[in-house]
Amino acid sequence: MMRNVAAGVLEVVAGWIDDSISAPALQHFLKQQLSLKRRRDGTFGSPLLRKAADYAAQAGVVEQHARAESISLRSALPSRDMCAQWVLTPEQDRIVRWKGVWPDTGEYMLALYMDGDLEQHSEWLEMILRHVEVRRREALCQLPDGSPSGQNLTRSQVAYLFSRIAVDRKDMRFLNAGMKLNDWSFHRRQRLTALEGEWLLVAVAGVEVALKGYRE
Amino acid sequence: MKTALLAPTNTSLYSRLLAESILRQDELTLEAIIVRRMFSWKRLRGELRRDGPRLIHKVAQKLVLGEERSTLPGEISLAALAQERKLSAPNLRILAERYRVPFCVAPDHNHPRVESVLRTVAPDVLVFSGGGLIRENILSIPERGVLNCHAGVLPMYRGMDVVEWAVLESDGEPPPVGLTTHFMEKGVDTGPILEVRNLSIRQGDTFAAMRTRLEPMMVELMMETLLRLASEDITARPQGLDEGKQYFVMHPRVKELAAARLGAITKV
Repeated sequence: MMRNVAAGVLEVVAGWIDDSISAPALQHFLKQQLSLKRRRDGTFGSPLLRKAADYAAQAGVVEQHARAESISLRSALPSRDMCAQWVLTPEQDRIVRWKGVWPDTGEYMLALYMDGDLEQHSEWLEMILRHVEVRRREALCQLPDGSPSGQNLTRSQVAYLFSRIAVDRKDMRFLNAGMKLNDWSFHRRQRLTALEGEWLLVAVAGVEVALKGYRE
Repeated sequence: MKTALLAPTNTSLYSRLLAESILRQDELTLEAIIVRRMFSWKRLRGELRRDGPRLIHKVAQKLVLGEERSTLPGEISLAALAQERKLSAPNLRILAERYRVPFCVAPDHNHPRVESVLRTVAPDVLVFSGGGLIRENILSIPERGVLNCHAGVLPMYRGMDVVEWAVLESDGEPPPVGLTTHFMEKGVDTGPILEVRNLSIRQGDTFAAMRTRLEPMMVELMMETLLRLASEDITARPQGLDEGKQYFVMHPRVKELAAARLGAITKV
């Protein structure tokens, strides 16, 4: 009897410390933030917000607004020449270390992905996936010293990248990790800069649309 | 064949079943029982960070409830197997005293004290029944290797929550759910495979029911593998790392998808 009570109490505690965010909470956050950031004329001021709104509409979280052209985030990322330089830097031999990843890994990986150049470095994806799953909240800090600066941005960029990779490769492990990254960022949403907040919306909406695609 | 046992806790039901089963076999000897210290702040911090609520659930189920764990109707559970086998001791320490087996408690399985005990008893096979990652200093000691039973089908499904992952990824075919005995290596579930045992999925199955059925199967498969190793009747087959993937703890939302997929597979 006593053991059953103790076990029941522990199960309640387990529920309390569960840091995963429910689908309704995330979708409400996405809807609310997009509504706050929408201009009076119904448009958004940045490509990141436009992309987030587009994905949110595809995921059925917000209403679909008329789209004149497809929205690309490529212009918000480093150029192809910069990416070519970045992959050649000696640090890239070990892009991931225990303490974190090299600065700007999120945006460079996304740029490589969008240019179709990431397949040549696909082992990096597996390394980053493992790093995120093992280091969890401490993952994606900035090398060489493991500083948390840049972690918020990298988290959302990697979560968004993972949502795309999950769709392309039909590999749910990446979507699984993307969801965790979004959950951890969600807990810090009050402390994000405007840019970090916009990337978080892109990441959350990207994961939602990937999940909807999987269900269908 | 000389064996030694690594156990996660003094009261682990799985470890006790394995220890008693080994002691009852003429072909096998149990040279040492090594138990991880019950409590360590460092370990607790690390495991809480890694497993979070899962750790608490595990503590509730395994440490608090133990043999009183509720069993699902009609399922053969680890607790039911323990009752059927009439275990002679309530914990490993008492079992070791009763059978005069050297007993060691250490902060973790890689501790120098564990290394020293194992070097003294020089087991042919070190039987791993849980308790964290094993490092090279321990992996290299047993003559034949460190034996583990992974709750998934190798080489395809390495890592965590592989029952759920196998179901989620099943595409019309029955999902490869089961157990694999293998020798441990530095990598996670990457060592040479000894035996694979599949679990058949029943109509109306749940993940909890499948795991309940897998637990007693683990004891049976470990013993079968140990006896086959003792009689030199089995050869370990190295894994090709590209034959499978490493899986990680499933997010609750992905777990919901897996449960829905299982529901579709097992629909009456």
